[in-house]
Amino acid sequence: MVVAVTRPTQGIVLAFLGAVLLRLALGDGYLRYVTAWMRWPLIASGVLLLLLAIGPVLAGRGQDGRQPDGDPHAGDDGHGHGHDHGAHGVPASAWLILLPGLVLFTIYPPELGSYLAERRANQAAAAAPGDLQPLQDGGVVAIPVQEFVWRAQSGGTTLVERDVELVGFVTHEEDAWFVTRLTLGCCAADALAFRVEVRDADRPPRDQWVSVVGRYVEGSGSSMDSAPVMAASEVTPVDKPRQTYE
Amino acid sequence: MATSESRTTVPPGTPPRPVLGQPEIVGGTLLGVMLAGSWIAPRLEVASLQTWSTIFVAIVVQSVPFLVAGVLLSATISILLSERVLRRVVPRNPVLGVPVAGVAGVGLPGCECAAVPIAGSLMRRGVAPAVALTFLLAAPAINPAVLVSTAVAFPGQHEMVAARFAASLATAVLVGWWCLSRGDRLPVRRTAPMLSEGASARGRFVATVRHDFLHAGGFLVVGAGLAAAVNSFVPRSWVDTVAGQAVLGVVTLALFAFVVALCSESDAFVAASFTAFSDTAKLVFMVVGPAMDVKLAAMEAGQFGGAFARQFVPVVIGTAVVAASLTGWWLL
Repeated sequence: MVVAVTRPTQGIVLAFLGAVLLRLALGDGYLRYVTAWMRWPLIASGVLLLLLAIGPVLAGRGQDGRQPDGDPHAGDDGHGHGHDHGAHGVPASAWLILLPGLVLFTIYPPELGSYLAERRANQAAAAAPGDLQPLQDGGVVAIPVQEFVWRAQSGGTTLVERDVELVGFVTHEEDAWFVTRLTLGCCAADALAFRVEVRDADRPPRDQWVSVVGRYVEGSGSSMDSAPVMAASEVTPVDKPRQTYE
Repeated sequence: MATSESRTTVPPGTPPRPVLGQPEIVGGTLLGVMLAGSWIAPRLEVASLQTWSTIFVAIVVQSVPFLVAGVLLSATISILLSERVLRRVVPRNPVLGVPVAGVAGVGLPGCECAAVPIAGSLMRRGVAPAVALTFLLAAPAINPAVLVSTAVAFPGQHEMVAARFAASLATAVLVGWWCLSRGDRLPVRRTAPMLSEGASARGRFVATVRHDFLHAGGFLVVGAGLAAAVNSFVPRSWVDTVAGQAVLGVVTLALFAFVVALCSESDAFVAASFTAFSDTAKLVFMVVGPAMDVKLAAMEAGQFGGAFARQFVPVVIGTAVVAASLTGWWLL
């Protein structure tokens, strides 16, 4: 049988998760897992969890921490708690609240990259939202990979004869390679891969971040289940951006 | 946290001794892992494990703020809401209360995780389980944030938004009436009794928030771990192989919605990416997911008991699949 979570330990469990959330949200760490707007909700819940931890931790000082002290479970309601309930009515599953923090400190989960993107490569990108305006005038225009895919899907007329710069990481498929970006809806679990095949350039290693300047190959990527193609004139390795998802 | 215990590096699992209590052991172990992390991490640099851990942490990080909001609201319902207000809001007749609770789900723009403790606290206050469970099913499925994201993910297909709303509401109300018909044969366990008389309202509020969070958090972690495993290890090509078959496509996307456990605010974008599947199958994916998935099933088993979950989970999935298929056949 799993050891029950004593009351002071409940405080440690809450404080650990709260501290982990704060650490992620106060730096850029949270951007590896969720979208930017989650920052303030994470800070708020991190602070709240730390505040909730104060009571149990103080209650444990000066005693062995096993005394029931005004706990909501001092008197049970007779609805029959399951056998999984240990001291103070907290199920043993509460131990698992430590797991995300432990994973964070032992694996340092990185932002998603080529492993996931290649496994989702067959997946077609969602349709473009609304009308696409013509690209702005000038020389080389930098656009998101996702936008390039959308423009190609709607016939590619807005891309023809234009020098375009894309920034993304490298994924491979057989002999071909792609400049790739992932997009998030809520969190990394719903990541979608957008990719553009690059021709006329040597293939960099997987997960290398690159800037690719080139031109759209007419007719490519017009159906939803094939990636558009770009004829590269220049491929430069670049540093990973602060926000790796588009 | 627990820095004074840093000298005690005791391996986990050692039974607590009088001199060294459980908090010291746990605190010391956590500190040890944090210090050893930079040594352990390079030894675990495997792409598949890293992808799992990223998605696992992502689901937890995304869900915890919603769970915190949920337990705050549930403690408010448990402690601060007066009998008079509660009686006025919830109809006395549960047969009528079920559809009212379904429509009331429009007002809670939150994740599934928030709805579980809220439904628990409604039951604590004497609301019929059928009514509370209807709210639990409806809130994550038909709130405005979900409907807007569906409209964005399916541009020009407004019938998809309407179909999602109709099928999800129908699922919630039908399951609610089913719970009502089961009556006492539905083994709902009600957790967290009232505190002993005399404790201040503030003290009871804080204790309830803490209790509810500790109660639900572990089950959330279990669900997140399983969903992350499916998400990172099951190739999408397996799912896509059945896209051409109408019935198999519906069943596959229903199962997939259950195991990947996406947030209802973003699952429409993933649904839209199943371009090879029929619109009805995509609708099934979006109706089943918010109503029932592996994360919710784990949390509901924790909140209402395993015996309840064994009955409730299959009924919800079955109802959602049928409601979405019929709606899809009618509207799409």
